[in-house]
Amino acid sequence: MTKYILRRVLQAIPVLFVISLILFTITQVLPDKPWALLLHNPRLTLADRARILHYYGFDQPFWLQYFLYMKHLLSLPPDLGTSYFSHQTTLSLIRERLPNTLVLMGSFYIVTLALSIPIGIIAAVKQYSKFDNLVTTGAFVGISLPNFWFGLMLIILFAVIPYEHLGFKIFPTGGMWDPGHVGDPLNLLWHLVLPAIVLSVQSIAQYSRFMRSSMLDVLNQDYIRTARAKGLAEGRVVLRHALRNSLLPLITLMGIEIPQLFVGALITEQVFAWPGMGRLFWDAAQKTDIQVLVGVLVLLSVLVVFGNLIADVAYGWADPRIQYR
Amino acid sequence: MIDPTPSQAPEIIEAAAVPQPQADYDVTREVGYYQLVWRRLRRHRMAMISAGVLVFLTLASFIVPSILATLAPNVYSDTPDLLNRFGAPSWPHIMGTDELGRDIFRRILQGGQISLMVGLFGMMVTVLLGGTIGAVAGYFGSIVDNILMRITDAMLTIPQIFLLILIATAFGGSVSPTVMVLAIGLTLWPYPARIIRSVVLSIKEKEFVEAARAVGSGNSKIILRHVIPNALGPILVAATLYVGAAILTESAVSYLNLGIGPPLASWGSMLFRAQEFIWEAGYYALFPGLMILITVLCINFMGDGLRDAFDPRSFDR
Repeated sequence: MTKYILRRVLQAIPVLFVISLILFTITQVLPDKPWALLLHNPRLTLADRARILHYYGFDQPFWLQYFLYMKHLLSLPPDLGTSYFSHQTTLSLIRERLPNTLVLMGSFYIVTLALSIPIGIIAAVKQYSKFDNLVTTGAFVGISLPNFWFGLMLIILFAVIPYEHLGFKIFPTGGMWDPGHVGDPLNLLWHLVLPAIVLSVQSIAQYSRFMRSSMLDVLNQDYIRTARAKGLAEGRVVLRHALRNSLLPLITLMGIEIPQLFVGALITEQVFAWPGMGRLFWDAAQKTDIQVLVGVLVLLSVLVVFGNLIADVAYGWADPRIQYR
Repeated sequence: MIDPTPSQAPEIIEAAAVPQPQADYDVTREVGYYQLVWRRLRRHRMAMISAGVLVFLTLASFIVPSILATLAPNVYSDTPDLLNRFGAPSWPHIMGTDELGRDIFRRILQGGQISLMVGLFGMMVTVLLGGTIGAVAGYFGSIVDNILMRITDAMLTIPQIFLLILIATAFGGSVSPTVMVLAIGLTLWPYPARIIRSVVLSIKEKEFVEAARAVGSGNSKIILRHVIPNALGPILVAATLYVGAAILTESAVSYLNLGIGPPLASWGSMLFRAQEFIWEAGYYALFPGLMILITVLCINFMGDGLRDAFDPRSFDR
């Protein structure tokens, strides 16, 4: 097991290396350079500009700049660059926002798994029933649904319309806390309901379809027939014998879907003004603060690579049939 | 092909009594591959309805706005009409008016031009780029394959819309549809690349490719004459689905106000405006999103129909 984990970590290194090379090349090739904000002041003379670029090392050849960039990235603590707008380090900006995004993502996993696993099981057990067809259609609508629009509709339905007719909002339009309630978990939960729904809606569709087909696969296996043959009640066969094995592929799906989850978080945070990493990225994009954009992207990519790694290891841990070699 | 098994025979005879289109029943005629595909597709009801809706939406988006502007220039124009801001849906503004007093219905159709064009061309760039990279990797294999696939894997790891925003932002200023199309192509290409690589990998091993090589065909001829025509099915299915993906991506980025900006409108950028004025005009947000949903849903149904139609296992039915 340790050997397996070690090998997977070693395999992740070249991927991270290629990612850093891609991101670095993109910033160098595009018209707006990462240092554009430094030269924003119109009163800078040409000599000033040259001096600033030299100071930050931006006049060096491409490969040397990449080498320096990597040196910063690999130092401890890693240097993800500095915002040339606020002159805070990207890492400190991220550190403020990351917990908020993790709260959102935690709620995503709870809502998605709590809904899609039962839906998938029922759809599989009652294959081709009305419910199953409904799930299939729902999944189709789910993957076609623009989730930001869905979020706006929820805001109108649960905040704007009730406020106009009843004088209060069922759920708030955005933010994490009400003023004066910062740190109150109930207040947070109240603010979390709509964002969690919006972030999960597409995935519930996808995860339930996945759960359904995985369950169908398992239900056709011999050991299930054996369980039925020895007279076990159907509920016990499905929930004890089949469920455990049919959950395994979900681990892989959760690993693969991490980039999509970040994208979903970016959009959800924008809809509900949730002060997370997505908002940070959005603010930086509005200011063309490319250093912060790249810094966030590097961090997210690292998280994705490690998320996949954890999913792989977790799969091996959950399924003893997997052989490590 | 209908196979007159005994159980079906009475229906066949009955059907033969009524004049039917010949193509379906003439067993002596040779039926080509694409004819079979087309027959299967025609029977997929949702795909055909969706195709109709999409044609209708496209025609409406490109023709109706200018017709409206010529017929009733006072009601439908691009010039702001600040006395009529946030008019609720009513005649003649069936979807209401926006923050500058413009008719939302016409604005949505104009936005449809951008959204549909970006979707279509975004898909083309994505599939061309991804297809070329995937085909080269799959066909040549070994080191080329290794390098290209490592890049593809790395690209799949970077969250797509974040990368797209980075690219779009670095082009500076407000994003033109052309930049949007390029940015979509540059970020979405790894998906078709993977599909097409695997298709090419399997075709490459087929006997007819070996035969072509045996009679002395070069790489380019084998790719153009043998590999691409045989890979067309999966490519077409994927391409259809990427139109939907491109439209969703564009609208998401434009909704974030980091994509298509004023004076142009896309369904996504209209939703960005709509959110600002959600308390003044809730209906403003309803229709652009509905258009995205309908369009993408229809595209996905078409992709589904095409996939069934190209599936060789469904041919004998």
